[in-house]
Amino acid sequence: MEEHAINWQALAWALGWLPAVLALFWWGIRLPLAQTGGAWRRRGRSALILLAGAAVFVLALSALTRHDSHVDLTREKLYTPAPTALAVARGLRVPVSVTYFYQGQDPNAQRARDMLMLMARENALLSMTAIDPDKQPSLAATHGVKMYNAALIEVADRRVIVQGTDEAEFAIGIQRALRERQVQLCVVEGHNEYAIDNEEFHTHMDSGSSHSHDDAASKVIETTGHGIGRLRRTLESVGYDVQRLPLATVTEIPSDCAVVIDANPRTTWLPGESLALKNYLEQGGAALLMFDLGFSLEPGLRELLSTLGVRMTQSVVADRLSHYGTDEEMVAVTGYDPHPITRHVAYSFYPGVRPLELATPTAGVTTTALIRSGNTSTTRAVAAARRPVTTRRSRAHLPAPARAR
Amino acid sequence: MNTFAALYDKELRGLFLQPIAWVLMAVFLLVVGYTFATSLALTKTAALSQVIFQASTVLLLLVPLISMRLLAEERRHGTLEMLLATPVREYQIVLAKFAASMTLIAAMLAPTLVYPVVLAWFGQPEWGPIYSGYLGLLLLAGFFNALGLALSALTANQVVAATLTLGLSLLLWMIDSLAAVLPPPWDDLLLQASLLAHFTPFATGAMYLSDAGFFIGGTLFALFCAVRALARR
Repeated sequence: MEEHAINWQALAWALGWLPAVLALFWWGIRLPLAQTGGAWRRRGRSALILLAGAAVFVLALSALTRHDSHVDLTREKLYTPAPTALAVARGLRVPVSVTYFYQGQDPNAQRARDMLMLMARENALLSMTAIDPDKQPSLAATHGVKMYNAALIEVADRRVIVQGTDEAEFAIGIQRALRERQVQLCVVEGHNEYAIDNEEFHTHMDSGSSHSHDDAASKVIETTGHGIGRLRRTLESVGYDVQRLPLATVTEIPSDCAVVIDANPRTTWLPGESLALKNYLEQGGAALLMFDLGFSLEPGLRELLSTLGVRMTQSVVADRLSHYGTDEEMVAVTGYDPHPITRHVAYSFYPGVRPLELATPTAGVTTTALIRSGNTSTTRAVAAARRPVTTRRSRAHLPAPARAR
Repeated sequence: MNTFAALYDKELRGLFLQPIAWVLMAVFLLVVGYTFATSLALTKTAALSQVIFQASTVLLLLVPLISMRLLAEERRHGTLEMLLATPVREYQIVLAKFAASMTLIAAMLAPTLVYPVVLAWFGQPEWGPIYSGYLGLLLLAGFFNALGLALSALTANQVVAATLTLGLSLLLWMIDSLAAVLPPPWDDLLLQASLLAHFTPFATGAMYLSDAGFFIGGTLFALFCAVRALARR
């Protein structure tokens, strides 16, 4: 409630402004009308008085605008920055500069610009500039910004870019820029993993026989695009610093990596990489490994997973009762066990997914299945070329996220 | 004060004793009422923002018809000279005419208060934007009225006064449409001059003090110009 309180200082300014302007008006309209002298002299004097009146009007308006405040009368406080964003702006102790490159025709971007302006009014240390890249393309290029609706946040020599129209995300970006030490997430690369810098968002249309990006196909699967750029941006928007980790080129994983992420590697790891991961985990590191069908485990990595209580096979999960459409391999998971990671996940589908089997971990390691296929699910072994080999019936644990600490 | 009250009374009688006031009120209520009925039927939402926007557009068209006669008619009939020959100051004439015409505008708006009552009867309207919307309408109408009064003081022809007021009001209303293609600082200057840009926050429930200051300051400046324009007698 306090966060949405009226700015009494600005209101007091306005309450002082109004009598002052009324007094000037009262004085102005009582000025004697020019009736002496020649016609040109009278006109000149009248013009000067009118110009002076216009100048007073402009100056008075400028003064009020500089000390502006707003009263949001909507029930949901639609035109007021989120309390968390306001708190961040008010709590600043060092100068922060925000340059918002917004699309002028986008109402959401206009609102975001207004919200940033309101945040800037809360603290003189927060300076805000809004730039429409369509009107000032050179300025956008100078700042290295290539996206619409991107906020460039600068604190001393640190720069953080946040894309979006949500002032709460901008506030988190300010906190990131202020942070001397950032929490780093290291994304492994070097094995044809998903790209972390892709920008594409589209809906795939898959049919049994073809794959296209239009609506000609019969089955529809929504995906987030070829890559994990969206995941990276989401992580960055909540305050993490995502870095690339070319695992094959390092002897050990940097200790400042809070989590190591490997998303869909397609070539086998080198023994040294498995060893580096093992050492890292033993020193208290965390890993999020997403291994898809076709990825062959290097013996060292297989052994590491085994000590963690996880076994992977080259097979695919199918469920004859619980699946999407008519494709048994597009497994439906109808519910999740209570767990902080999956508490917001609802009914979901996992197409062509590789199973995980839980084994007995070494002492001190606990395994927890986060995603389980139904009792009617089976696995179908596939060769590297994904041709069926054998069929056996078992309840599978779907892969990702195989998380160990 | 007595002089002002007498002038106000005279102007008010002059306005309401002529059919034009009643015709304008009827037209205003017809258009705004139609908007209320259709928006309610189509959106099924207990909100008045569409009505407020429509009312602002109708005021843009109708207020020049109210203000056009205020001084132009006096000048045309020669009664302005007679009035100024009495111990009446120019500003008293202008303020009295402004107050009387604002009373007529308030009388036009008053019957529309039944709309929020209807909404409250059948639903749960959001009152904040309704309050700010009506305040915005009064401020906007005051600006139009003061502008029309100033232009009416410049001419003896009512049609010319109305046309000038309508043209200038319309220009200031839509001047920000060019802002999207202009580079800074011109885009910001046009936005600052735009009546629509200053009125929209009132209609949506987010009142900025600077927007209220723009209408108040603009109205006072236009009234000041009207007083100075009386020097052209």
